[in-house]
Amino acid sequence: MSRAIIVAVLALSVAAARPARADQVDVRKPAASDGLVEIENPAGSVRVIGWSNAEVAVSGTLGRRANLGFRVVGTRTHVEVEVEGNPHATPSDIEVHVPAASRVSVESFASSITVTDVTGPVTAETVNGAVSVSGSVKEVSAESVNGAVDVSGASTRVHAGTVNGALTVKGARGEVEANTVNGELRVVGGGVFTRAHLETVSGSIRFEGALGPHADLQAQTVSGSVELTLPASTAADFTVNTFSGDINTDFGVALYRNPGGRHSPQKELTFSIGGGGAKVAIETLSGSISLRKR
Amino acid sequence: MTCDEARDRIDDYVDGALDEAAFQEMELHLAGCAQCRAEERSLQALLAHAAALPREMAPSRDLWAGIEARLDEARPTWRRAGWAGWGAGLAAAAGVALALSTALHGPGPAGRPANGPTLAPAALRSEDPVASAEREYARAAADLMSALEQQRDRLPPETLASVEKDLRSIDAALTEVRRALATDPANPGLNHLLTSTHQRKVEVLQQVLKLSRT
Repeated sequence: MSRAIIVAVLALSVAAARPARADQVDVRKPAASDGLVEIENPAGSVRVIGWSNAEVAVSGTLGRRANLGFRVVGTRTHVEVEVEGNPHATPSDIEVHVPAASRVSVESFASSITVTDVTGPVTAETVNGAVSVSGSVKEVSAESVNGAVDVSGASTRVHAGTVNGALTVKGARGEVEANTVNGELRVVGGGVFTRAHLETVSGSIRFEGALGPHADLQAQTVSGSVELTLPASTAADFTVNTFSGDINTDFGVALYRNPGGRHSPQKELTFSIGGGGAKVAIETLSGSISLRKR
Repeated sequence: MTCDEARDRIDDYVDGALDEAAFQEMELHLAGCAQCRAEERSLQALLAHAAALPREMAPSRDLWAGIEARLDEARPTWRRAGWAGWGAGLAAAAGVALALSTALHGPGPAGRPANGPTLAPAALRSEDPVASAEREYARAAADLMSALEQQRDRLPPETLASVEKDLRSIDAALTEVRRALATDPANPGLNHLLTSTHQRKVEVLQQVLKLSRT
């Protein structure tokens, strides 16, 4: 073998083993229509789209020294951007089409995550980046540390959390559990809820929705404000507490108690409307509380 | 075994949950792979840290009755709010050690009590349940901070700065609640706010730790 051929063969094998720059990927594999699809991408972006095909397709751009791991074992599909060196400094942008009824799990560190048109349960977690889940996802768990979390669609069970960033749940019903530290928390445009637990430290809380006959709605914040907008026909028992904030209500009830005594600014308001039924509990330290009729 | 496969099994490996064949395969891989060995040692160090946490024990139902009775005595006119009660927050406080263990180990069968919340011994013995809960939370938060410190080089500086800002924000809220409590120490609502805000701080730390291992 001539020296030139040896050099050429070596060069080709090195090129195949280690891409030197960002690479385009476009691969697909058959997958169960309702299987589990796990996606991991340390940095960049992940976009997941549900479709009617019984296959998982991955396309996008991989960062330098990144490779795509793509395995299907039984009903489980694993898609992972694998990076040599510091994974958080190598952004890759991938788009993953999955069978719409798949269970989807996305984990990242510094990626934005977008999930659309998936109907199976979705879990999406990142540290730095926004998380957006939309469509008719029945069950959603979406978390970020630094980034907004947005869940929109007719979900019946939502768990959402962020530390820094706004949190919005739009169009949901059933159960919602949401918390932030500093960001505004909004549950809006919803249907009938059976359980809603909303918690912030300093962010405001806004809830618009109807309550089922035995619903449990809890809203708690230290210094943020709370605004609930409920149908006039709501049947619920309210317990509203604030240590130093104000309470305003459209429901025509203003029978305050002051369990802290006359030297305490604390206000407590308990009342029932529509014959009672659902339980509504609101608690703040210094944030104002507003109860609005829709 | 590839490094990917080793990473998939590393939690089970350190938990001793692998069968003999898988364990041997893992040992073989670790012996020849410096990167995976370093990851395994890092995880072992975190687990050793978690092991130093206080043990837990099942709460006594009578204890809760006693705590609530003491509050009721202090505030006979108080009617319980719709919250599960601040006692639940106290239980959560005491369950921090378990939560921390879960954050560091990942979910697993070991160490999880069969039922109900858990309460640390200090909170059980103390005359002042709120102060005990605060101590438990402070200890748990310190342990989590220490674990986070060990992952510092894996976290971008802006993330660390942001987390620190969040923690300061929570600490400011805690100070605000304590100030209010000083004027009304037996207020169940304020006690609930205090414990749940502590719990939020721990959850934030847990979340960052968990995701930083992604």
